[in-house]
Amino acid sequence: MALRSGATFVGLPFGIVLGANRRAGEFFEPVIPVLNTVSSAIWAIFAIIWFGISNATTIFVVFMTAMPLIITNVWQGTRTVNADFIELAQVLRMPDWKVMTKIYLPTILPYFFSGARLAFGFGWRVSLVAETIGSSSGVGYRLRQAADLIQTDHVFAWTLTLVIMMTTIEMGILKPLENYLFRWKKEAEAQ
Amino acid sequence: MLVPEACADMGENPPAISLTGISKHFAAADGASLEVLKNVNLTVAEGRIVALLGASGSGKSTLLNIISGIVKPDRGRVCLCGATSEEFNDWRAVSYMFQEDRLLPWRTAIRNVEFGLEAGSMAKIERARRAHEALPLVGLSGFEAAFPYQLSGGMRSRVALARSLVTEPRILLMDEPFSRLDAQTRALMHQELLRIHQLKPMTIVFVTHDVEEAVVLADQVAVMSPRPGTIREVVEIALARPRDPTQREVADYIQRLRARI
Repeated sequence: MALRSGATFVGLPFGIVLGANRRAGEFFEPVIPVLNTVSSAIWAIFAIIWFGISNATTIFVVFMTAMPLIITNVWQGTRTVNADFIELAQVLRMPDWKVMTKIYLPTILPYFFSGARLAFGFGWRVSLVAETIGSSSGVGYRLRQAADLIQTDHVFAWTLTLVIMMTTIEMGILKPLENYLFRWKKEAEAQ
Repeated sequence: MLVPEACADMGENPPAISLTGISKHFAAADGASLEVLKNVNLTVAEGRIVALLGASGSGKSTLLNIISGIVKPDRGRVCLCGATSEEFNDWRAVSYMFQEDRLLPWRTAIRNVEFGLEAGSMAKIERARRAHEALPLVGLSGFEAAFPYQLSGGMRSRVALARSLVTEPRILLMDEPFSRLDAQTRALMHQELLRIHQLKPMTIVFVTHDVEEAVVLADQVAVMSPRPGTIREVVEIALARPRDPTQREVADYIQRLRARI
């Protein structure tokens, strides 16, 4: 979780800046797809070269996978900000930082959420792989250990644990949070 | 410090709006300059309802934006109650209502009304108190917690009106505010606006291309000519309210004005 929130804290403001500042957006536009296409396995190899077998390797790999996803989504979100609302705020003489928090942020939030969710899903899978090859602790490391000793029951146990954990987070936290935050959206079925 | 456009010379009882010699150009796409307004003069006394009537392209929305201070004129002077529009805006004494309701979809009705007060540093409790007073004023008690998607077009328009009124403006500017509503709802909103105007006397300037709307609502109708926009004449509507377009006198005014657009 800590890994992912790191990517969130970098990805969210970065995405907003790219969306709000045209020049920054133009500069980074070609960079993001490149980051998106570089495989996590490549990041893992670089991480092992740079950081060795350590936690930093896992953190780096998850970060490099999750951050571009969040940036891309938030950036797309900033493009959907309604110019009419910005004009309304200007007529009310609203200072820029309030326009950011009161109009940009709520518009971006759904996009951010889908980005964060994507990053979360990718992140934990990638972290497993990263731990398997570049760490001396963690679930991924345990899995490799079990595989080396051909302890199939251990592998199943870890898999089950992970599935339950992820489902709980999805059903217990993400879904209810989303339902609450986006209750202002008209439901498609309701029409 | 002497500001050239200062409005200190307007005297004891300055008019709510005084426009002198307003001209405005816009750069067209091909680089040519487009004259939108040419030497516009208009004086609006405090508490009156004035319609800016004209075909599209007559610069009436631009004129409204100049009064509100969003657009600066190339030449001319804007005085609001004896102050420049910058000074006047600092007191948040002018409100603007758009053609669309522009309600933030993620906010409830009451929070949308509060939005009108959020530019300044007013305390949250005070904002909420004023918003709770403004919603009943437009006839929307009981819909505080509704999200915009749950409201009808007329109700959304009422919320937008409440958002403009919550700042207690001395001048209310409206850019074809009810043009998106169906005829019946529009007529209802006209009555509502007049009722609110009696409760809270303020100066209202609204833009319209609908002659009927202008005659039913306004004390004065400023007829604008197409490009470059000038005010062709200001017609006083000396009729008692409520005005019904089917009444003879009202219909006469409508016909007279139609001939002059």
